[in-house]
Amino acid sequence: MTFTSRAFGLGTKVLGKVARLLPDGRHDPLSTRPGEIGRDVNRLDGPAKVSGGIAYTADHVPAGLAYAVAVPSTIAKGRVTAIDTSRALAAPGVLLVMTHENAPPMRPTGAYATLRAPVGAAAMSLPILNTDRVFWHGQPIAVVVAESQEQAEHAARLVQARYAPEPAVLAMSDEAAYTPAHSVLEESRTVVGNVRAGLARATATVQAVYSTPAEHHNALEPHATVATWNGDDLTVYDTSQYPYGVKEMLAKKFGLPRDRVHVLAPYIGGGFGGKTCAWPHVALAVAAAWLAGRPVKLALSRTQTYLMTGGRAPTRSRVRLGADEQGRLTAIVHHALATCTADEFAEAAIAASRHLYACPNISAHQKVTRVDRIQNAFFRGPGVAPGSFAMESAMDELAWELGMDPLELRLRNEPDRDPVSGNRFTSRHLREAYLLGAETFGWHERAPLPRATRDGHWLVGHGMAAAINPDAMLIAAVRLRLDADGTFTIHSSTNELGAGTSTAQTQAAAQRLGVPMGKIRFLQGDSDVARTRIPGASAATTTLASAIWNACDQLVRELLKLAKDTPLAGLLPGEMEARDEGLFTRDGRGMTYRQILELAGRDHVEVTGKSAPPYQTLKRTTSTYGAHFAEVWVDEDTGEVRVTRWAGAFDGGRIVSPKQAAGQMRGGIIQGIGMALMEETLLDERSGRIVNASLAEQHIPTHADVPDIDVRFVDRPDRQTPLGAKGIGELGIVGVAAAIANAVYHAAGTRVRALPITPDKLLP
Amino acid sequence: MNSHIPIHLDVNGRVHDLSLDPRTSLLDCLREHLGLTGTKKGCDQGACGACTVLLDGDRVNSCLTPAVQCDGTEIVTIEALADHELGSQVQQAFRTHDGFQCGYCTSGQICSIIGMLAEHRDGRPSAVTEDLTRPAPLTRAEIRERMAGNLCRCGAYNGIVAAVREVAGA
Repeated sequence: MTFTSRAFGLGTKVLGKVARLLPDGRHDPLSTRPGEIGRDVNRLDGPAKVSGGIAYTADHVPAGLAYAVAVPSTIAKGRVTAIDTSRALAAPGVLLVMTHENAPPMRPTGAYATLRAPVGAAAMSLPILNTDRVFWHGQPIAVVVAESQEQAEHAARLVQARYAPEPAVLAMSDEAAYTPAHSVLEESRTVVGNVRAGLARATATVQAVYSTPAEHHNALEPHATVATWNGDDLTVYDTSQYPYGVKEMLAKKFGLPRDRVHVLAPYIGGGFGGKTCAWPHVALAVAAAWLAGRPVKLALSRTQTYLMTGGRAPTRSRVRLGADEQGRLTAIVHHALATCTADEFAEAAIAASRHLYACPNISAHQKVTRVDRIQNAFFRGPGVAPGSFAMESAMDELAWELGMDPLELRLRNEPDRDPVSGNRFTSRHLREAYLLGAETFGWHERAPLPRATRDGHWLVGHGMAAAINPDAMLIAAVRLRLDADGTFTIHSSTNELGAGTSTAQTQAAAQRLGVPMGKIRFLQGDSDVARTRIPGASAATTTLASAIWNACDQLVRELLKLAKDTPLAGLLPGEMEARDEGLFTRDGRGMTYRQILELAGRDHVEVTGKSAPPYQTLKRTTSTYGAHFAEVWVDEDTGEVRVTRWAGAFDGGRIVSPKQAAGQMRGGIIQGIGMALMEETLLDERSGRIVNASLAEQHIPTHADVPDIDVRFVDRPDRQTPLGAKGIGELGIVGVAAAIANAVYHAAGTRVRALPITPDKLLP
Repeated sequence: MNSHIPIHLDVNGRVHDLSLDPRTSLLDCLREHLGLTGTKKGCDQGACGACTVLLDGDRVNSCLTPAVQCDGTEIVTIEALADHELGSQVQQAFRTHDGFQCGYCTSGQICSIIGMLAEHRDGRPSAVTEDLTRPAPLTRAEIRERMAGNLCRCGAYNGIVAAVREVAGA
């Protein structure tokens, strides 16, 4: 245990005691009312998306645009002793080559993922191109700027560097492991009760080591930045999940006031956490545009997305479980190891083991090893997705040891309170999710023994696993504008990653304001709207809904002030209902929004709404939950695994936009299928080079890998949250790999504890 | 290295006279020279299908197709499909069945479907076609196999397959 991790643990305990005095979340009357919320609607950006009409970052071609290509280092650690740019500079169309010798100074900033100072979106604190130091293999050591993409790519290959290499640490080892200060804001070491005593009185125990590899997000849109300087004014299009954070980072790096930096990112071609932080190329594109005196586009090639952006860290988990003869857990031990870099970001692989099951004796310990690699990144279900593979595989092994149905084992260990903190839940309907999923799948028809079902050379198996993801509400503000024609515009600094944020918020706002969806425009992705910190964490739906709720309250107050000489005069906000495109009392007195503005002689009213501090998430434990049920076919001759059937049932509170929510769950499940069966970023631990840095060699699920996926929701509102909703963007992937591994065991009788489950691991 | 090659390129019914670096891919030509940015770059090496366009009616990865090689051919991109009977049906079916999330692979998926349905109409089999003596029914397995070259990382595959089945009347 390090000093910082002890201090963090102590702080958590003190905060936990104080937090009990905090108020609960404000109950949202909309959470139980029928209306636009909960209705199946098509995505509002659909017409543009199906016709190629959305402008993503790299689609912007400002006048005078020059093209930049980054040059990667070919060693993992050391110094650049000489860099020869003469051949590149002599190549046709080349405008400049930026190296550490001529790059403008870029001030270091803190790294976002450490969450120590959550200011700015910078992925790393390292001074890229302002030093001759090389920190990882593939780090940008030069940027070539040319008139065309082809010319820049060609010239980039002509830059020659000489290095003084130094020994690099590249493997995850127990020897150098230490306890990080915190693991994504969870304490790194937790001890409840006495696991030794718990294991001693267990009638069944299991113990095993599970591992998950490094992975990359592989969003179909590669990272790109288009930077334009206009004097000291900087406009940047960026593939960012966090436009406000990029604005803060660039302002700091280039010594500009924040109001001179404008970051635009309305539409992102998938993020999954890989665009939460700004990787070094963002600042380098801005620096190159400064040197060139022209707008510059720097789009990473697919290969460069593996070199110059981070992925999920590899993990290794030692899990030991004990249970009594009724299947009640007597001990959970989960000791996990992951890698991190100079900026300490520890995947919390232990999260599921701390919150999923009732157990009086828990020992959860997260350690990390520092490696000379690019910073690891948030990736859908950071920590909890790889960690739940370990925990949920171990639960399956325990069920076999007990001779008990794995669903029954889980039902018997469903807690009433958080197993670690003892806090109440804001809501928890995992039991309902287990039963709903099992019924949808037909779980009761499962064969009682492994290797019991076959179809020719295919062995058929069924497996299940639980899903859990900590639910967060973050910080947002929106501007809400009512125009004289009775239409509304919501301005937000958040953006559309594909989750359906803009559609869901329009649905919710329509019901909140009592207008049809067509009367609302949702404008997004502009960093200048307001300080908004929702870079991920499945937090957009509830945090934005909170800010819009607050804006609507402000608007009602403003409109009542305007309506002095009208039937609304003297009425209080609490007496008003927003319905029928206006404000009305319960007995029907009122006016439409248009009438209010017309009588007041105003062409518009604009207010700002801020999200409420999420005290309830400090006072109580808040998570989303689910249960996965999978059927796999395993080819006895080749070891090939096919996923043939899937049912998932989820507790995400009230579901705001069911059609898109189901899409989110399917997307998570499909990424989980990839995690289970094929995804792995292979690192050469001698050189630090990524061996399979392309989509041809690094496989993600295709059409042919994915069956029909049946998604169900418990759909019970959380009384503590705006709209009664909880964030579900990450939940779908959690538990998927374990459900598949458990089904593979049921099919073939082989337990695979190291992902991905490739055919070689199933051959005899 | 600086020698450019003149070509006539028919894109969406409009002929462009261009002088191109021979290294320019059809994808970069569409995006950077003609301003048709609806076609997307996902991998630039033919592995993801985001850049799929129709070349004389066949689906091709435009990132692997040198633009100068397309002189005299007819190119159709996503921008023209709203005026194309089957194209607009596929677009509508994508909306109904939620066949996309972020939208980045969508142009390629839709162009690929147009090309795939033409291949199927021509009686071309796929790797999962069992009976090669007659036209294969467009089952889910057939669609999944025939569309396997178009990746979708958001995971809208179920919706895409449903959209194809609706349009194909399967």
